[in-house]
Amino acid sequence: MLSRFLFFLMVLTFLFSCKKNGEIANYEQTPYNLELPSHFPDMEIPINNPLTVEGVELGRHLFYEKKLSGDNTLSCAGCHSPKAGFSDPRQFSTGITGQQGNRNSMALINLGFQKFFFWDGRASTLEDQILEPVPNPIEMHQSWKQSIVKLQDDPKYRLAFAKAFNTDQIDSLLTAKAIAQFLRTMVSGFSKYDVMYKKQYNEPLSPKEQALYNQVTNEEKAGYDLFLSLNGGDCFHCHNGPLMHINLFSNNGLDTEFKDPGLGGVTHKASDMGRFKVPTLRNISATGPYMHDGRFATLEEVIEHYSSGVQQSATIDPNMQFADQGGVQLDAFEKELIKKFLLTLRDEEFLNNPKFAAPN
Amino acid sequence: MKYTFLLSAFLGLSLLACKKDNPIEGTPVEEEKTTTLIGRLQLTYDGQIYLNDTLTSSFGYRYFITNIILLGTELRNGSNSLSPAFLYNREESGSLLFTSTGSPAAYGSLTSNIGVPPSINHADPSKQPNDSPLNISNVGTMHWGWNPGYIFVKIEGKADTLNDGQDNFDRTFNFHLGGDELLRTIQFPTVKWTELSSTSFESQFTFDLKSFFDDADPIDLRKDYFTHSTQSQMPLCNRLMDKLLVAIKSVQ
Repeated sequence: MLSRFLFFLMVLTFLFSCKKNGEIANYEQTPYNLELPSHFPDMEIPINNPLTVEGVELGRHLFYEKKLSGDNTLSCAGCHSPKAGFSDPRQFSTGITGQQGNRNSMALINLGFQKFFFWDGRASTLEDQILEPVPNPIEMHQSWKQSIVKLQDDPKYRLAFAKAFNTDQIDSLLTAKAIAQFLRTMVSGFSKYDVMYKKQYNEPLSPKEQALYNQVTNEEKAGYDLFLSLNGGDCFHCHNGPLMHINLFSNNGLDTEFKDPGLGGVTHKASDMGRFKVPTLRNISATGPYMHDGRFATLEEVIEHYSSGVQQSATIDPNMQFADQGGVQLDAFEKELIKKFLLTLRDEEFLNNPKFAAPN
Repeated sequence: MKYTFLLSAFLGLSLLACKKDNPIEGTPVEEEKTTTLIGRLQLTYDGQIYLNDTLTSSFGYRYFITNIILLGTELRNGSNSLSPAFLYNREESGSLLFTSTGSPAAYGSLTSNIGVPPSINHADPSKQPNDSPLNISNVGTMHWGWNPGYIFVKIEGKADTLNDGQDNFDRTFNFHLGGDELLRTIQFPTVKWTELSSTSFESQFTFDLKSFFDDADPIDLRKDYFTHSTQSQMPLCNRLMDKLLVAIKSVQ
């Protein structure tokens, strides 16, 4: 009897002697194979949050999880709708208390290539950005502590976190990491613009890409030329390359005085007043309204702004070359060509990708 | 006896179960020291450091600089490459011109492109190394597109051309210079390296604004305040690039 007891004790001791608190040692994560378009730069993945199949799937569930809001009605997808290119078709998003913000929700496209987040760039990592909306009183209005309690209560999430992170102790950072992993997989790179771009650089087109290129019209090509033209739209200074944005801030001449200081509200520098993160133009036809405050409902209004509505101010971007004459002064035909080109940035595969849709 | 054995085995296993590896002892390996070489470019006006002051042009109007960006490639001494590409952006990085590794003894003189050679200038910028300033992720506003390629130089500022006694600074000037025709090579026959520490050295360069704007063949910002390097602007662009070669010097 004693020998059996001692043997049992020995086995138990051996099994548990090296277990850390909360650590479940049974799961191996599967590296996620993120396929990038051939004309894209590499994506920098943080060392402390590599992409795994389990992490991405958990992140997808969390992105659509309404339990992260105080009244269980609002998920991330509520203000970043798949139908709107993961932006908000409303000018301002409405939180669970009915309060509205003062900025239009940004589209969640190709985030893995970006270096700062929010219109004012106050978050320097995607993980940091994700931590904000949940406790924000005008958004999801729930403490992370309460959010974690809800997740921890759900056996589905306890298992998913165990598989993704080998822990049964859910916390806000792991939640943010999982959502960040999911968001990094949301890559948009198959549009008419992309095949035109590859053609320019004499990069080989696959049969599928060639078929898409065959659909590009002469007007769309002309619109692209005008978009790039120094004497035309002059748009490329801030919207260029395969990502169709630059990782910089800009005052694009919306106002002479600033109700919203933008980057200046974060850095408190006079030279940053009225400067905002340059957004991507990818899927622009799906992600209206436009600008940091959603003031322009249509692409026509945006083009009109750059053509004749530019306002001078102390911090206007030097790349707004024609600010002193109100803009680039396009005629009606040129405006139409620019619009036709902007429509070529629509990537139907991205917008309808089931991998980014709500889990069943 | 049997119980003693089992108890001993249980104690022994529990003690050994979490045994960490002992570090392997052996001959310590001396870390190879890498020497960092830093280049700094200081704006000056007639030899004095430029601190964002308002300057008076040789034509009498006042002006100031808001930013200067230079894109250089093939920084080298003979066949010794110091940096394949570097980006100087005064607004973002202050005086930092380049940072690389090597022995200062190997770089007692330097040659560099101001601009990007044609073979790279029209290639896909996504294909450049991830940490290169030529990569599309890093190049910011310094890339026009596949045909014109990179912008080699940006010189931007404001000038008060109204001459009415008020601080209007009505004229924004932007010199955006790029295109194969504007590629230049600059030479520094003697480069002085100052030791900052046992593993880093620094060399100073200056860009004299008086030499560029206001000396022989001065630039009149009232007339010549904008280039985007279109064909019709080439005479001004070439003039500006040539003045740049004279304005930038290494500090002895």
